[in-house]
Amino acid sequence: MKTFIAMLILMIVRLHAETGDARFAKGTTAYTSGDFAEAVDQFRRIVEEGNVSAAALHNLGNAEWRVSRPGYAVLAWERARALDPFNVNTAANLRFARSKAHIEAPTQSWHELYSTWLPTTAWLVAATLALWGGVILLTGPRLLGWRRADWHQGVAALLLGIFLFTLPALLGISRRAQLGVVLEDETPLRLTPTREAETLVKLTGGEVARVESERGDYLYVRADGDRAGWVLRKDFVRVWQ
Amino acid sequence: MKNQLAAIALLISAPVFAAQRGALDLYNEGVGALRRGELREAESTLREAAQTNSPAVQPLALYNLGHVRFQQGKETLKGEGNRQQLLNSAEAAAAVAQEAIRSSQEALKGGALEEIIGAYMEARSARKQLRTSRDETTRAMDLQGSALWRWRRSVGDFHSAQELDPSNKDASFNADVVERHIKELLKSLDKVKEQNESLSEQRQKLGELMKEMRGKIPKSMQRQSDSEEDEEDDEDEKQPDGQKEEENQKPPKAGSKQEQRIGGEREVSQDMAKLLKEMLKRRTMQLGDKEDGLRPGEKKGMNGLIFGDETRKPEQRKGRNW
Repeated sequence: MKTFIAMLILMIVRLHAETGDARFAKGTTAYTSGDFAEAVDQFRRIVEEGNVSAAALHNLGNAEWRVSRPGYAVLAWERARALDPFNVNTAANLRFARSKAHIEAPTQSWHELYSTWLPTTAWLVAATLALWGGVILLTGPRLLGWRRADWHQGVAALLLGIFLFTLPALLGISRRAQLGVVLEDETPLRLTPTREAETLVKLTGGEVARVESERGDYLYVRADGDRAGWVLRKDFVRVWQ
Repeated sequence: MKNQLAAIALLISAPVFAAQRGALDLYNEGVGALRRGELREAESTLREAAQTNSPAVQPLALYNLGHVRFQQGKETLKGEGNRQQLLNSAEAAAAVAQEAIRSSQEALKGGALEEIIGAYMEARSARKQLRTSRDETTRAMDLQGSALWRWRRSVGDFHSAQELDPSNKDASFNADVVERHIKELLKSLDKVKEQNESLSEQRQKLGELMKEMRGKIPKSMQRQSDSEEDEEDDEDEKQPDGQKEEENQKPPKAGSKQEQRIGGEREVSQDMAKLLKEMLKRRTMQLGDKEDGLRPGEKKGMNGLIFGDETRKPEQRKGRNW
């Protein structure tokens, strides 16, 4: 029975992966043959089905750009960069899109920039392993009656040191989680979170802003140049959602 | 221990209270300015109060902002003078122009030099009259466009105030009142626009006829200044009407008014002097005049339990130059 269940799970996982691979291939073919709308559809479905990868997001961004939806393209590229901060093509595409739309790159604090040195998962794994490794090495001998050795303390100190180095990155990651992208051009930045609010300024699709608070259907965001106001949730998507 | 906990709680909540206080101060300043009739200051301060996002202050600030913008629209319209008189004088100018067009066409048909010269002079005078009337209607259109923009914003503010505080029925009532005013203004704007277009058309027609007549008058009989003046008139025509219409849709720019003030060595005309005199009077005008049917602006702010300090007026505060 157990073997049957395990095989079933394995089959489902494989099928899932195969579907993702097939879609990726279909999307790539559509893109190379110039059918960008179909490419958008295929890559988006990969993401919606949970097979999220930096490559799929990067290609989704390219296809969105080709169908003239810069806001959606920047969102996909930002998401790709969050998964794979070392991809030079994604970074180049973002630079290109911003220069075309005359948009500034978002201003980031030092700990946010520091958090981009490694992928998010790498920081989380490093912080978890370093913290728990250090704690186990320090408390293990006493609690479990192991024989104490000098290296225990040395390695524990090293691990806790690593953990301390991950702290600013974790803070940066939590701050970057508030970043989002304006999807459409001419998105009104409102004075108040209401339907007939005064428009303070219009935001360009692809602009990155930081969410500061939420109320009902609205998000209070701050864009570059200290432009702050309310936007409709449907017009603005967080990079990490 | 209890005291320590209370101190910690106070320390944590201090920034929240400070923010609330800031919003309340701005709100009080705005309401004070509204009461004194300083509409521009009231607008900017109440906007700031609304922008603080304090849930208690925001709906009240918007409600009063609605009042401020409605008043601003009314003030703007006072500058246009008597609307009916303007339409009547435009109609009179159109009638004179029509007659001049008829005479010019007849003179051109007849071909007699004397008649042509007479018709030319008549056309020239009619065209000048048309220009004056057209300028007046254009100015009225600008003012009405500006008032319309402010009133539309006022409706938005009242609706927003009610959206944030559904119990505020006054806001919805006021929005309906302003909407009625907007409907009336739109009707008037349509009339003025129609008149303005017809004046422009007639001016153009007269211009063409004058050009034709000028061709028939010997050069020796033409004064240099005549053709120069006519050309100046023609140059004024070149400004596209579409541009004017677009300007009407936009909010009035502070910069453009400034430009006018700085740029010219203009004499103050009698009309302008009258207008300035009226505006100076209005600075001391009391709020809440009953003719517009709006419910008073300061009402909500003054009876709100949230603020508590009903007796405290912005003027009593020290240390701020406002």
